[in-house]
Amino acid sequence: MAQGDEHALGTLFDRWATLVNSVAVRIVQDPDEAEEIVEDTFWQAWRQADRYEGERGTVAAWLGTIARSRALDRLRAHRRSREEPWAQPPAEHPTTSSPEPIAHTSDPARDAEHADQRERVARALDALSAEQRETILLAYFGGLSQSEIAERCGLPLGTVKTRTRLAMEKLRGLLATLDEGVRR
Amino acid sequence: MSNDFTHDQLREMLATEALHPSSGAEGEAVRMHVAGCDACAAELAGYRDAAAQLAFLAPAEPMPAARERRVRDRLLTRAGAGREGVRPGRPAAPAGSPISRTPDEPDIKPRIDDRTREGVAPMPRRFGGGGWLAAAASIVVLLGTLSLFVAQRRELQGLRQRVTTATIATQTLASDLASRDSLIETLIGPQVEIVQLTATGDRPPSARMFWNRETDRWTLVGHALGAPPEGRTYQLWLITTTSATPVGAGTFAPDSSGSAVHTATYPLERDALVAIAVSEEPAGGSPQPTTQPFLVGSASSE
Repeated sequence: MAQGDEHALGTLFDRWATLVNSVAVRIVQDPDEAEEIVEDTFWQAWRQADRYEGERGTVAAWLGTIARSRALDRLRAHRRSREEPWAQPPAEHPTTSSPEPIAHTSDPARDAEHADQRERVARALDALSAEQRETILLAYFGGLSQSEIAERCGLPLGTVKTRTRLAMEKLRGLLATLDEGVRR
Repeated sequence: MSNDFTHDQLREMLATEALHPSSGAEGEAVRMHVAGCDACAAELAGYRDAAAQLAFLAPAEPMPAARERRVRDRLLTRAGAGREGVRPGRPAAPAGSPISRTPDEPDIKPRIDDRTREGVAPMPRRFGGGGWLAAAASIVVLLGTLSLFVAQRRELQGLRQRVTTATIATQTLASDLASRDSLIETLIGPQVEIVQLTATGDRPPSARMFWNRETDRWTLVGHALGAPPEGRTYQLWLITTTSATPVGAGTFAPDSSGSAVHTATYPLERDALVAIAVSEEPAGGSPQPTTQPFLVGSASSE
């Protein structure tokens, strides 16, 4: 892609634009701003393709990380300029106990794959306690630091740090287990 | 700075660092530490991978087609413009600089002339004719080495980019295959029960529900579905013996060809399913159906 093959960029965009847009909309809650984030994300991927290391993560995770970072930059800039209170708590994530819709696109296989991935991560997240889940989602989608989460939740900073660490340890293990299950 | 913390303390910080990189002293200490500790670097990579997968939790928000096309066009235009200017992997150099040349330009000789004329001071006469020859030979060797280095570096960069492109293409292909396998697995097999849904009125749509009892996955495949009116959507309902009211199983909309694939996960005993229905509801769905279903399938009909 970094060789100047625009076709590769087009393919990458077609494949992952929905995921990137979903992350952006979820964080900034504004479709117009999300549009800019989507463009920024793929542009950064295009410019930095040689930094991508396949063995260290999937393309989706790489793009999702770039999109999140871009979206959080904007979110923080808005917070600084407006001095608004922190965003509302993240909406409840999909659970495995109730059916969840998937959005339509023209590629059913891709939709099904996204739904599978989403369900897998949701299943792992469901195994965490409600407090751990909230902490993870506030940090990931809300972009809150440990101190900010502590302040927001009225908890000692040490408690938040411990909660985050335990949650991430558990999440990593669960995702690895679920990956194994898929491979079997 | 990482010396202010023990190895165990730094290791405990890895998980939080992966989720929300700290700009403070702790973050700096972790980054310094992992630069020299392979075990912690690997552990941090594992946490980062787990954190990255949280992106999938964002509710699916496809871009409207016009917007998606606009962004795609802008990206490709920018990429094309970039390619015509400075080619990725081929850094530009100022005109006249030692590594500046056109593809057809000889690699070494013109620069020797330039440097001899402008940049290299005359040697003292005491070197004599042999000294001049030796100096010139040294410059030739030096520039030759430099040229070789630049060429090899360029080649290496090109190879790295080709590997990156190939890796992305391979991953995408593998991902496509995996998703198709996953879809096929959902639709076939002895554990899959099929419920045919038919239109209740004059409307032409039809659909089939594939219920994979082993995984509790429900996959509705619909055809000839018209686009729902503005502000409306289609919602899937499960009518069961275990619930007094229909169970909402998510909203969906067809693509431009009128087809739709909608998946959901819902554990249910085989005998508990009575029927499946699809109705038109306000965007976002309803807790309970607000209109008569236009697609219905009885569990006992198959």
